[in-house]
Amino acid sequence: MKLIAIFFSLFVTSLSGSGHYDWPMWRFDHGRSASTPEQLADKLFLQWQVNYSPREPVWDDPLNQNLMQYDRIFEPIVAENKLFIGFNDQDKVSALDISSGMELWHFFTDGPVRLPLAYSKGKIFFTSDDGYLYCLSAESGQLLWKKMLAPASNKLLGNKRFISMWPARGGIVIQDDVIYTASSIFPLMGTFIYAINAADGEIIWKNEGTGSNYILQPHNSPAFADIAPQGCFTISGDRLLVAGGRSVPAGFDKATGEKLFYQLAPSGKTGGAFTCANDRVFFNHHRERLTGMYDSENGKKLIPVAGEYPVIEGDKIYFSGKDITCVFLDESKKLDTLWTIDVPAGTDLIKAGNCLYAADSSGIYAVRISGSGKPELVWKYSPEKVIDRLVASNGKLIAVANDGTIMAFGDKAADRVLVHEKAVAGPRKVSGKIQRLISSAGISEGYALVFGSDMGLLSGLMKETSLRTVVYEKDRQKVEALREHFNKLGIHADRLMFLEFEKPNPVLPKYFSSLTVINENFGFDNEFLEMIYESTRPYGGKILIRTGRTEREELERTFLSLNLYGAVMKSDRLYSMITREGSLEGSSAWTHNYGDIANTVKSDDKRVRAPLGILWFGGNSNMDVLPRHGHGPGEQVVDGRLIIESLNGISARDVYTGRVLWKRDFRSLKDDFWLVYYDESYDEENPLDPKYNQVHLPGSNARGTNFIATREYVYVIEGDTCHFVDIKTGDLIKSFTTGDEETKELGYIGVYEDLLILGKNFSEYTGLENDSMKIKNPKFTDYNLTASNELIVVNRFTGERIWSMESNHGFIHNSVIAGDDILFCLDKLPQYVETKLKRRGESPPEGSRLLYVDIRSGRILNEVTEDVFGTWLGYSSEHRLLLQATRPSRDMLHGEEGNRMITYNVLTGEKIWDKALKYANPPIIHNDKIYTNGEGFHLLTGEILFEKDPLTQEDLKWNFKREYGCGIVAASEHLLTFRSASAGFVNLDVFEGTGSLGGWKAGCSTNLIAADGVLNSPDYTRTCQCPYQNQTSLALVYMPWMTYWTNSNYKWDGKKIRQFGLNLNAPGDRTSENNTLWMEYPFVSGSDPGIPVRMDTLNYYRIRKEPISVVSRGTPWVSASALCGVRSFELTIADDEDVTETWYTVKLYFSELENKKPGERVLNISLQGEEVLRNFDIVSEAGKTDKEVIKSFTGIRAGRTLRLDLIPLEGNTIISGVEMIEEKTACKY
Amino acid sequence: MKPVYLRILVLSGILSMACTTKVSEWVLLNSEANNYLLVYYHKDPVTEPVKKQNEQIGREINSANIQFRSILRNDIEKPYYALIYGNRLFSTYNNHAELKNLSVSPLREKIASELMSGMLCVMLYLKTGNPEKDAPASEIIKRTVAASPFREVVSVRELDRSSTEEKHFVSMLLNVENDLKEINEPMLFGIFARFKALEPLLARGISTENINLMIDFLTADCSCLIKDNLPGTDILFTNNWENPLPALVNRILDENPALLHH
Repeated sequence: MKLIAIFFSLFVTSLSGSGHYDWPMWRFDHGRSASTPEQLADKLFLQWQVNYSPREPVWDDPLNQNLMQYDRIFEPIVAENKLFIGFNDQDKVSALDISSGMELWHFFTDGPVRLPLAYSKGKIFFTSDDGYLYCLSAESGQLLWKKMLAPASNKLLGNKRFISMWPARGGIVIQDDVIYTASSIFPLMGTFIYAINAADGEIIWKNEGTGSNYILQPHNSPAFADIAPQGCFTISGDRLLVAGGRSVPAGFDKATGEKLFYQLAPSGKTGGAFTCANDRVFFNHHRERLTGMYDSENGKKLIPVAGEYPVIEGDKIYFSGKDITCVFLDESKKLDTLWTIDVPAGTDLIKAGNCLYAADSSGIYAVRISGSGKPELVWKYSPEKVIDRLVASNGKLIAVANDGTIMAFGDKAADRVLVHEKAVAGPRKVSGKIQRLISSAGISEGYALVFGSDMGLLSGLMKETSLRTVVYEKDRQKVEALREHFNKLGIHADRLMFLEFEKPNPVLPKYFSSLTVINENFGFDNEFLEMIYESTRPYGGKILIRTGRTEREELERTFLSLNLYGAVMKSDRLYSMITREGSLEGSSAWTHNYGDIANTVKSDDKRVRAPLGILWFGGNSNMDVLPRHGHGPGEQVVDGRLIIESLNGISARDVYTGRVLWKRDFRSLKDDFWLVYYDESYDEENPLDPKYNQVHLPGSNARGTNFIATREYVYVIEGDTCHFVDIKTGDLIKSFTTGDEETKELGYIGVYEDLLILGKNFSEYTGLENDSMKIKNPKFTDYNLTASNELIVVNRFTGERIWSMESNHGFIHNSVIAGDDILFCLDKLPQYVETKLKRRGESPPEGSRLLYVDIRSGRILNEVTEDVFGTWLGYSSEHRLLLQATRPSRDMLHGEEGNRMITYNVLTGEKIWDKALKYANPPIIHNDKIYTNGEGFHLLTGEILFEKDPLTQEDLKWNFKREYGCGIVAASEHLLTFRSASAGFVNLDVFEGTGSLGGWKAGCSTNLIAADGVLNSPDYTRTCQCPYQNQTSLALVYMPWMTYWTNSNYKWDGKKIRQFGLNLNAPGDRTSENNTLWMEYPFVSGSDPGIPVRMDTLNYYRIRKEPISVVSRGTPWVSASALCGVRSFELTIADDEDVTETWYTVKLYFSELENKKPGERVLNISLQGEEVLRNFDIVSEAGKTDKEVIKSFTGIRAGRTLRLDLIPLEGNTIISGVEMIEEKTACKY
Repeated sequence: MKPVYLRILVLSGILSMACTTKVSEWVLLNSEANNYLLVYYHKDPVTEPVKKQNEQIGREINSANIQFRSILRNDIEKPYYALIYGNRLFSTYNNHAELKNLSVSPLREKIASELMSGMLCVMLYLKTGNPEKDAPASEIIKRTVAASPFREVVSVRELDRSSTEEKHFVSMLLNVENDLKEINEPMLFGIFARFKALEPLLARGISTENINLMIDFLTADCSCLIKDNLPGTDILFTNNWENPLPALVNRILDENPALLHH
């Protein structure tokens, strides 16, 4: 019966006349069945062919490209005898005549069209990375309506394109004239999933609170990151399956938008954007073209590897692959094989009428299934191209090749096959004036912004530079004309993009534009100039303003009045030029393995602070990074360049755009890295294999880095040579060797001011070869790569040798540091050996020492021989203090336990303190504090760090929680950053727990580094197969309006609560500007703080929106969620029955989140049994829905409990937050 | 030498965000003992009597942390048994008789029973048989444990290096580090969890400070770092490690929070 219903439904929706059927969406229907009733002719003939260019897929590395194939090739749909395709490079949608291949119309968008289109009732629907859902007339291509799915118009660089901060990559599925789609691919930015009426674009439901859910990520470790919609959505029965990009899909109630399941962690290393379904099960991508089978009821895995991408015909499933296999899905959801035919379907398989059409590198095949169900090969066609997609519709078989070719086959042999080539011309000649203008800027790479169109300038930029250019033009018609013009020239939107400039000013990404041109008469004001300057790249980004003399004077006045940091202006006859010189104010670099030559493990960057939002993502590949678990050196950041190492070399990326600036290979670096940063468990050849690839090694945790980035050079050790690489160009400038034959290898490397410090030859610790620990775990007992025999100091510009010093035992790399013209180092045995000697009652050998050396001369200033322990030194220049410790962390050598620290006064050489302290991170020197992995100490005393309990003001030991994740904690002025399931941070400015930056996997080797004003997160997860929502490089910057959530192991001690907020139905905790710690209620993420809350309810339910959807002065993250149906709260605020009553200011937070009109929801409110508010109507008071209203009541007397009553007079109750602050002064009775 | 210096020298990195379960308890509950491998090397086809004999061996060690297999080798003169742990050859045996009580012995049973009853650890003192060497260390051990706040949950057992009854146990202990067999000094092994022996304190290393540090390690909060780098060697033993009694150390720590590690 169900099958009949499905068939009838298809008949009604897809029959396009003449007995033919449309192919109205990707893989034909809402189940993505790839099975159509369309009956094609027995023999098919090529009739026309259109040759487009190959598609460049959105993501950058092989695994992502396999898991998310949605824009790998053209994905046509067919309706009304037209074929429709979207372009991810030309940012347009085209309609082709299905009879001839001639283009009928095209329509330009404001961003790449990456997901397949959909058709319903004369309309074409599609989404774009510009954050919009578009609806066009299928007949004419005319825009009927468009709807912004993103919550705002903010832009960023995503996958090398200028797109919405919330790109719409929810591949549309339509059923019953309802469109299901979504925007945003990063949960931390909020996700927005929609059901929309296809007729008029009205929203039926919108799910926008799910992205922040605190759920288990891969490794069964939690973070605030739920489904990240990316890929084609699918419908299975009453379930909407929201594609999760790299993961399994999530199931939503199709009718209400409620999330039902997302089996992210339980599904293990599988998932991908491809999903197809019948009404009981769905098949989801595994690897290559394999799929697993899942229960649509609950998303649980039924069969891990069921077969290659299938065709679904009710309960009959046809698996593609090297042959075609037909199976039957029985009642118990098991598959029984019916038949197999030896016809290759290695690239695609569809069913049309009674035929299966298969594609493979060898050709296209038709297999007829007879009435008895037996298959028979009836037709074969062998094109020269590899066909990756088949579509059967309107009497045609459409074949899409992986080189961008689209072919159509029909029932009649064509006299002449029509071949449409897409001819390109090229920009016109560039005038000398324009050439001079461009050359005067001296910028030819990166991203450019142009305001106001000038054909000559644009042609010049296209011809003379490789700048990817975004042009804002005020005249909409001109925008269209320019798009047409340059598109015809073959200059596509991925190189030259045109957008309409509208007031208010567009919200541009910060720091991205290397060259901005404001053409004459475009106009400017203060706000505009400030915006432009903010979007200009530091370290030399330029703004060219083409003005007349009068306008120039005005510009100069305006510019001076703005007092922009780093801005330098000069004027010429043709233009005025503003250069953004130097760094961002308050930003700082990160060099060496631990931030600087002083081993502080801290960046001095003051700009990076919570909340953080994404500046850019994508655009470079983790194939240029070392395997994750080898724990090679982390990135180093200096002057807007991020330097990162691969197996073969080193590369530089632009901190502000992610653009790869240069790469340099070194011939024998890979040999150097063998058994250091990778070993035999690394499989380079099979990046898609979900097996464990590259075991953990101590890597640079033990060996240290082999490169240092400076403003002038990147110094790279290769064997016995240190290369000087120009950091601007990647050119090899010089190679330094010691010149003596004794030098086999260089070990240590560090830079202090104009000096390069090198370690000559690794120290070998004899007697360890047969040690039992070594035999047990040899990779974690290789102490012979941790120290150098000799230190050599040379001038880092000339290579002139200044001094050298030999060790007694070995200069331990993690201890060679410098500050205030002193080099400090430990010359001793590894900690493990000393431990073993002590266990056996033997003394450490003579010669162990802690040295202070004049870095300019090599003269020993101080030699400490007592209490020489550990492997780590850190230096505080501010306090002239030296810290001696060990370097404990995961993936570190045996014996590096963190049990003790000593500090010395460097000026006197005296010990300041010596304490037995437990810690598990290289000690971070953060001004006057030491932070480790969850512990804090006072630098000047060694005392354990305490802070004030935000609720009770009692003393509380400082700590933070961290979920699963390798890599160390790194610091900047405001944050500690680390991997904690996804990416995690601790805000050092307030008490609020551990925050999540959910939606991608931070590096297994430490990669969250705050430097140059940006939280850098280059993808250091190469070889990782876990299905985190995204696996990409990205950068984040301070965005005050952004949302974040935290949690902690906070336990209330029962003392009287002085200040507190209950954030109702929030996903987590957060502290407001007035220092109220707002805790989620109900307590769902992390551990229960143990604060008793009694709640009486009637008609109770929860609501959550994204805070960006709510208008609020400072706490949208309180008012964006709510509990409905609450009649009373009773909050216990002291354990003691006899606690003294005090007075509180109680603030109640409301927002009308259910679209109620005035008069539809009216409440009376009582506090402590006394009515404080009558006839309260939220929306009336706010003036609109989704706007915060705070009602504040002073002088509320409370002892052990605080009670709140909400009495509905009309409608149900709703409340978002309850805040209580003890009043400092006595209050009236 | 100050105690604080000594503290760094033994074991135990404690993650601040560690779970509150103590190392000894966590390892007992969660960390299964690594398997030994007993190999019967033979050149000729296995005869029926030997087959039966090997089946008998298999039955005897069936419940222990060991696997048994036969391997044909052409480069040996006569068949023998080899006990392997990790990649290390622990001992060889010429016949079935030499394997008797490989996985059981009275002292091992006693120790296992104490571990299962919630004791923190058993300090096993392996004596040389030379009273001049053995007595001073024995005195230090007794005095130190008696003075420890954890004395109720730490038991001390002694074993003579030449014990016939415990020869397999002695052999395994002397394999905990590769050179122990050559060192004729008293040794103190901390035994915990599912029969895991820590690398020993030996000779002058049997000191009050080092013994207390060993206790420190076992009473510390467990952490990922410890789980990753768990020290010690598993001793071969037949036992059911399921459902041990609750760790007694928790009561002591609850009553004396000052003993908690900071």
